[in-house]
Amino acid sequence: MKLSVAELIVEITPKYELLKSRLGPYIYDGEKDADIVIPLSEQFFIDRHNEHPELTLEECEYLYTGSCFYTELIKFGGVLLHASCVQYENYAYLFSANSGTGKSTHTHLWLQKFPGAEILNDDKPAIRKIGEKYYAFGTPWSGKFDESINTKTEIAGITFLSRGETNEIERVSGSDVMFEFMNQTVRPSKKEYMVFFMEILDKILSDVPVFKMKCNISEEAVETSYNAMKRS
Amino acid sequence: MKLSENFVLKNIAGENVVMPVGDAVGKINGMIKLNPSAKVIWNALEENKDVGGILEEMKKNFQGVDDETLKEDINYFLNKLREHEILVD
Repeated sequence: MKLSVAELIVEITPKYELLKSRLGPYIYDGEKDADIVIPLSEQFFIDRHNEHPELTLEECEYLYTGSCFYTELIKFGGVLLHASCVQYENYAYLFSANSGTGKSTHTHLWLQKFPGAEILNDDKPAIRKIGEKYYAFGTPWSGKFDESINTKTEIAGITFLSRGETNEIERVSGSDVMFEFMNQTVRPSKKEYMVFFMEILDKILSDVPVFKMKCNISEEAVETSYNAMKRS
Repeated sequence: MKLSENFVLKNIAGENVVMPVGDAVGKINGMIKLNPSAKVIWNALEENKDVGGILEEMKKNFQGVDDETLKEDINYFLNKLREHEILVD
């Protein structure tokens, strides 16, 4: 079957329920050829499951098809950021951090504060430059919970979060968060992909506003990030 | 004296960054940032220059520094690269 994800046609043959249950909003019925083919076989998932018995077969399919998609995305000027992404007033706000820091807690506070705000993707939004603008895209791969919408929203900014007693945010230069970004994405191991990847990263970190933030769990935390990141 | 094929140098957000690929991924975790003189040496190695050729490049880029100091810098960096199997013979 074909999907349309981040404006790319993706060919995939899902086998298990978890992945199938996430594909509905992305199904593509048109005539265009696939840009990305995800060629993974049932045997591949069985092998990964044997290597990682803590993952079920359907989780293996879900994770490795996602990883395959995000790697191929690099060839089309896109990249994964491990982040919770909230959209509000036509802009996407990305909050990235290690698992367990509270990025999803922070974006869910936005939903309480701002009527109309929505989670675009709670864990793995795709970032892709189209024309002169950078967009966040929902994808079928969004982490444990199915919190992702099939949409394309211009990025207001990317914030790297850590926990703090008080709320502080600072706009920083791209080089200040390069290490954080590298740690929150899929780094390709093939050379030709790495060359593309580094070019994309250079563009994103040069053009998209990036921030570092320390925050607690409060409405004030939301005000702090929104006021710093919003486009005037 | 040859750079391993398993590294890519690019400028990202104003920094000279070297990333491992292929077999080097498991050996070097993360990324390497090069300072301006290391970048000149790296570029010279990409052009298959020997120590004499690298020294010429360094002299062009860092005028007013004496040869001995430049040679020390070059040898220091080349040894670092050998240690990490980035420079192979």
